[in-house]
Amino acid sequence: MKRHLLTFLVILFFFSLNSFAGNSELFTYDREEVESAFKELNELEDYVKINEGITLTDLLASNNNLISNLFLGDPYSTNIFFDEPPLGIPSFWWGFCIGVWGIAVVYFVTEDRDETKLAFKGCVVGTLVYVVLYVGFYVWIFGNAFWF
Amino acid sequence: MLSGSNLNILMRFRTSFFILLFFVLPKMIFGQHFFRIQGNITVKEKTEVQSQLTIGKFYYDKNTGKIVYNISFPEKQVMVSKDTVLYQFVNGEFKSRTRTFNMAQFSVFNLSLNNQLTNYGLENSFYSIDNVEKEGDLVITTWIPERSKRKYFGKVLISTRNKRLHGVVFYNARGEVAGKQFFEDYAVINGLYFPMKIVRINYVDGTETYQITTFENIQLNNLNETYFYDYPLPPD
Repeated sequence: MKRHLLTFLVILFFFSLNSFAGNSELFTYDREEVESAFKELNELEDYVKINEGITLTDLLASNNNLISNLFLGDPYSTNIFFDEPPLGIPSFWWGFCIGVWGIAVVYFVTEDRDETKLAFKGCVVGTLVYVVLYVGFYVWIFGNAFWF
Repeated sequence: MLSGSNLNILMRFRTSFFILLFFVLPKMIFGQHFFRIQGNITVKEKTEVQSQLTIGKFYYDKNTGKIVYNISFPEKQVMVSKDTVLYQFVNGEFKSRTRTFNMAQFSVFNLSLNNQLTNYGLENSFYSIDNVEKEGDLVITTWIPERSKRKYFGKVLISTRNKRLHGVVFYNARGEVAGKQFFEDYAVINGLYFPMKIVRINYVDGTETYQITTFENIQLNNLNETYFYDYPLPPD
């Protein structure tokens, strides 16, 4: 009995240690992995800072080796500074595809009146399209029924 | 012996004195009003398929509410975020207007100027504190969204070290870690702590994407570059 109790306490102790370590573990990341992932970008950064005023167009024109292994995105992209709508899906399509739930998602995620309006418009258009398809389907069914 | 009117004046003076003593004076002594911040910014992003490097200068004035990025690489351009609109200018000419989300409120610039960086600005949001624990040198606070929003939002864990924001862990509504941010290399500029490096890790469909933002030459309350702080925008 004592042995069982001791085993139980030991398990409980290690379990509590494990749960204790859990949250602080979340606040770590593999620095070496991140640094190695950015090795080529760091070299490019150093080069661009030394050659002040140089642009991607200049590097492409001179076939610079620093960008040969990098697949650089759209130079006029704004995404790097500014987040996208929920899951990257425009608010209109949230409303269009999942109706009222889509409006709710946009409303709670963005807390933005204009975006919610877009989702609402999407919801209205989506509903109209659904109604037209629904009616069209039955018109087609009944239309064909008269052939028999 | 004081007359009624003199007593009244004395009472008013005493009230003003106490207001000055308890509310105004401490703010004047201990808190400096910062309203502008600018500096050099470098953003590097790495996903499985793409890399991105952006270098430029940023300007933020909390009175105008505009975040202005004067970008020199990859191509010269200016981006301005104001309320929920993002404006893009190339060669000084207005190029595009995109509807976005109000990024100023939770930007590191606004949070730092308002001394709200420690709790990531969640104090004034629909999140509330659920738990606070100390683990080693970290103080970890768990924030949970209000009940009506738990269907769409997950909890947020914020850790501070030496009373400065160290990391933020974002959960999605399913309880999975969606992303992390680390605030590192703090510098003290005129008494204001500012993280010179922000590492952001996002977890999407089992893959990790990294973003590193670094700052240099941070200046506060610069009155000389008003053109950029209040960058002219086209009419709506």
